[in-house]
Amino acid sequence: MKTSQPTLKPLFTEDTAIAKIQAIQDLWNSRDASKMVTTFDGEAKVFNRGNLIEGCSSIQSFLELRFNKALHCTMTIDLWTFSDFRISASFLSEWQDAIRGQWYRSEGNMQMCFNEQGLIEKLSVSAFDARIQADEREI
Amino acid sequence: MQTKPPLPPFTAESAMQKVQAAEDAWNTKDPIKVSLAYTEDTRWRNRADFINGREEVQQFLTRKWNRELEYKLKKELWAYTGNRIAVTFRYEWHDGSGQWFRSYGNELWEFAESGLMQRRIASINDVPIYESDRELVG
Repeated sequence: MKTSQPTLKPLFTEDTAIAKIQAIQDLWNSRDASKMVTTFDGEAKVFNRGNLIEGCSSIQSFLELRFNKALHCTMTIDLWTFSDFRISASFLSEWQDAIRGQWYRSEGNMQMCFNEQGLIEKLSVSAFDARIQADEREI
Repeated sequence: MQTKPPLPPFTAESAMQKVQAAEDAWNTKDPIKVSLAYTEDTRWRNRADFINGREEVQQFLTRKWNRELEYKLKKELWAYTGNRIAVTFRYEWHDGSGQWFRSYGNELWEFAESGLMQRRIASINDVPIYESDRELVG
């Protein structure tokens, strides 16, 4: 049974870490920035590919801009390991450049730190983008 | 069987030891020495490159340190369970033209029972910096 409980809280076990990742994946695949930002603490810090984004307002703006540029963005997140308040995962996402129509597959790792309420207070993302053909999509 | 303690399953202390050992080894910039921490059939993804086996690891690291000059690395433990460890890292280097970079990355490790690393999945992004902004000096 697929769970959808964004409010799953630390201290994580393997089962709750897996459920947390699934819940985040489901919510992030809504591609609704205002919904996605609810997974973050108000003063969350996101370190995305070497660039720091601080606070929910900035995170939401970043996501809105992202989805204007990257259409049909769909991702899968796979748990790697976890500790009490932290989860580490690998991810794949596929998206289409809004201007040029080129499809891409992004492959990367993310490290998350959660507060006691189960909200992300720190997210670090590193990834690379590879060009793919539309018929090579896997997600 | 060749072993490289500490062995899994990891504790907080032994996971930190593994991270520090990796940082120390990579800062030698010696491809042969570094490669000995990995299984013979180790499998890596490093950015977009897929690397299989120690020999390919040595070749990859040789190319890396021919390109990334005055390389200096700092790793930090993020999480661990069982035989897996997650790490964040940053390193600074300059290219042949003198342009400095700070590279930020996240890597995921999986160890064999021997304590040698059998899988390494690393994603990294490079940010140009001024030499005066270097943080990892000395």
